[in-house]
Amino acid sequence: MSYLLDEDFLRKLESLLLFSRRVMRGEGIGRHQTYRRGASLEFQDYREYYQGDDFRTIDLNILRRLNKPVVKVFAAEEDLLIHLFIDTSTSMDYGTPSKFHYAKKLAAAISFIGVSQLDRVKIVPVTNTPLEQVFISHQRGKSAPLFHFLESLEPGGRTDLNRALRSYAAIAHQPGLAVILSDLFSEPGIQDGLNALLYAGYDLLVIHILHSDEIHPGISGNNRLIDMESNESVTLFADKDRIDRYEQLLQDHMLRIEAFCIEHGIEYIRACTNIPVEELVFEYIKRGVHFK
Amino acid sequence: MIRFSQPLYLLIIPVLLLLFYIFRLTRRRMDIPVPSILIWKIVNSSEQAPVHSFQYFRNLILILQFMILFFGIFALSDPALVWTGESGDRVVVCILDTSASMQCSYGEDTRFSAARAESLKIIQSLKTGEKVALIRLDAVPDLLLPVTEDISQAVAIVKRLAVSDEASDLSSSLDLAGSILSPYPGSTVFLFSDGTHELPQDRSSAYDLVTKTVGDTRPNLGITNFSLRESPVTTGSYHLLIEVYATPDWSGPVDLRLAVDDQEFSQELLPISPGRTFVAARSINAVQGSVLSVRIANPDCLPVDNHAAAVVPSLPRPRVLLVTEGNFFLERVLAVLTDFDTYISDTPRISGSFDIYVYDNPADKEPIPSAGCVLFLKNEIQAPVNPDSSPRPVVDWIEDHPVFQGVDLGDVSVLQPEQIPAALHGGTSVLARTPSNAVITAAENGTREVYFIFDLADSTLPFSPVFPVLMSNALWWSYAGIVPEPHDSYRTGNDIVIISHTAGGQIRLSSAENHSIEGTAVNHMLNLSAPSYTGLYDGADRSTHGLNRIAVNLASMQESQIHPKTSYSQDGPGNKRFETAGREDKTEASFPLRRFFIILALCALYLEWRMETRRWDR
Repeated sequence: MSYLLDEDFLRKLESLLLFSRRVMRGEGIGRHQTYRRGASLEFQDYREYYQGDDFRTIDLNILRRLNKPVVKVFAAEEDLLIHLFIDTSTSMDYGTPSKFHYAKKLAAAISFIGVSQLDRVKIVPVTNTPLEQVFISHQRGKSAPLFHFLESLEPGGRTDLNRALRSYAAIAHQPGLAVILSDLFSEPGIQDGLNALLYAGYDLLVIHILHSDEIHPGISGNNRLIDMESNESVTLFADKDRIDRYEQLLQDHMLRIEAFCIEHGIEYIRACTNIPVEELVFEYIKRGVHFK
Repeated sequence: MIRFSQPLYLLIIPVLLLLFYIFRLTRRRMDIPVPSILIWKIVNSSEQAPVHSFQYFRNLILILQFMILFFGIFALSDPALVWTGESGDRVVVCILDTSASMQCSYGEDTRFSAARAESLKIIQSLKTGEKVALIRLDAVPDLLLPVTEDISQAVAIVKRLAVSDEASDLSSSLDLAGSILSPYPGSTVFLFSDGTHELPQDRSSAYDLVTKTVGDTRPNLGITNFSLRESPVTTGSYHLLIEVYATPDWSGPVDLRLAVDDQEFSQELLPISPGRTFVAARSINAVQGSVLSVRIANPDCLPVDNHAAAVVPSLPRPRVLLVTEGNFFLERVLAVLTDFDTYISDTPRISGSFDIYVYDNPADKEPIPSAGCVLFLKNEIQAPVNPDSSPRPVVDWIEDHPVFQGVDLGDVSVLQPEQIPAALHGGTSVLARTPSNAVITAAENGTREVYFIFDLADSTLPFSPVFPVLMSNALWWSYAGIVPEPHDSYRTGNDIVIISHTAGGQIRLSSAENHSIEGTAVNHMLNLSAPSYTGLYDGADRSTHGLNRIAVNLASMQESQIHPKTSYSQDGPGNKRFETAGREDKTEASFPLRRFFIILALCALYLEWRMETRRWDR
């Protein structure tokens, strides 16, 4: 049990299934189809019987009709490697509760779903050195260590999402479902990183986490705004026109990312911290293409 | 009025700096951490000011707040837009109307307070080196301040100035202004008045006249005449003549109340036509020395013309000169009659001003003065004695003649009345007679004369109780001044004639309102034309016989017509005329800007509030 998710929520999460739109190669038995032939219940093809084949796979109807033994070939079901990228930059530590805490709860929920369906979950805290803290769990019912790992994460430092994702795509040699939890406030952008993951064969789900104060800033008057990551500042008088302009630019920023995601077949979900994680999962994420 | 050329107004600068510093403290910049300034930098990039201080001028709210501050300061400073011409040594004469109509009130303010404020603006706008003179526009123009550069003295005089209850003489005031401005050609005369005067057509063109009209049309009622006259028929009865004027915009009846010694005895609601004079005549009984007053109880804008008073005159006692070489009976009877001032002389004083002359045995050479006379004839030559030597009673007399009012001559007898023959000529009538001769006759030939045609020593008349009454009646009847002239209410600004016995002495009359009139009585008359105020005045006359109380009333009907006249406004319609004159003469004119700045401040405050509200509503 973790302080991130309560028991009722975990029980509800067990009813959800997480899928990848791409057929991925797994390493163990799971619930996801692969191109491999196996012993699942999913019929795949017929082939001639060769000596040594299991008699139980011979289609008796065809044998009786054609007097020729033909065996049914079934698809194999393997597990899925879920890559959970959590933005641990200082900017995620904004708000009460913080965006980072929100992201951790969301990651815990997704990883719990994955672990529950015998998938492997790889938690990747995204910093400037993305592979230093990687946690892999593939044991059913072993979600506690995963939660502990999530709980131990602390925000800090700066993040270059493009660079981090590109480097990860270059190093990681087994693609899977990549879930990116971030506020996407990265000055170089995120498009290059996402492209790198796509080229590496990942199925991508981007969850854009924002705080309500970021969407509708409650500031007014003469202020100096200090960047939590870079400590850079900008001085401005926040009147209505500037606030409106900010909101419009933020909206354009989000629409631009969303358009990129739609164009490249990436599922994009926008999350605000004032929406409870349970509601987000069952009302928004569940309607997506990766959950059922 | 604010004038930025004066060093005193540099004090505004530290005040502004302090206010700005307070503003900076209240609007101090706050540090706010944000996840990323990525978007904010884009927001600010297009508007970033190159200079740090310039950001304050970019801020509309801040600009509006500064505007509110400055507009408020300007409005409190009573600013004026001043045109200054080329000449800086001009002379300005301010004529202030202090007539009664300037008391017309608009709530707490009066026309005079408005005129005073306007004049102070003009005086305080004068520059160094410019001169000012002050003239009070009153019944007699008064030069309050000759041409001087002392602006503070002029301001003090104007602030002390009070309005009187008189009419004003504009023509004389302009003449006075012209006389004091003769050494200063091209000067300006400012006239502050309510415009109840006609501007004279033949005024001097040596100066430029700028009129400043204050006040507007207000309905008013005013008592324009209040006269008192003794009834010629009934003693102690008086006739009152009351004239009430209503302005053309007045509506409703007049609530007229009469009082004797402040005790109201009559209240009447009388209809009156707007723009007309209502005349009422009443008869009342009043004792001498009492105060008769009339009051209009309707509220209007000029209370000073709503009351008038008159003092019932105390008639002076007739002066009687007894011309005799010694007559015990006449001297004693005249001493008893206290209604007369008796003087005794052995020769007639023709040059003296006596009302009645009593001649005891006048000689033919002594002239009869043109006054009332009572003559006691005596035969100096001893005539033959009446053979029977018996007294002759008075058997016939005209009982209804004033001389015999209350007199019964039945017990009076004359020893030898025929010794003095009665000279009956035209205009002479016999009042009383014995069976043989006339004993009392009377003549009316411009004057009244009573003749006693017998020797008092040879009659029983001196010993009769009716003798003093008969003597008093004879004196009163022969008194020529028994019919007094109409005793009009005294008017402010006019000469007040006071008959006084303290000739040559100072007389001071003072009222309960601390107003006073002083003058020197010359030849028993006190002519007062100095500024005076309506009300009752008690005199400090030493004589017990002198008049010690007078009632002074509003000067003229003109003051009750308190609406400005059109012809006057055309000549000087206030500010417009003022501005034009200022530009034409290359002198100085001003336009008050206080309201303008107040409106600007309110507008800026509203805009600032709207902007702040929009931001807080987010």
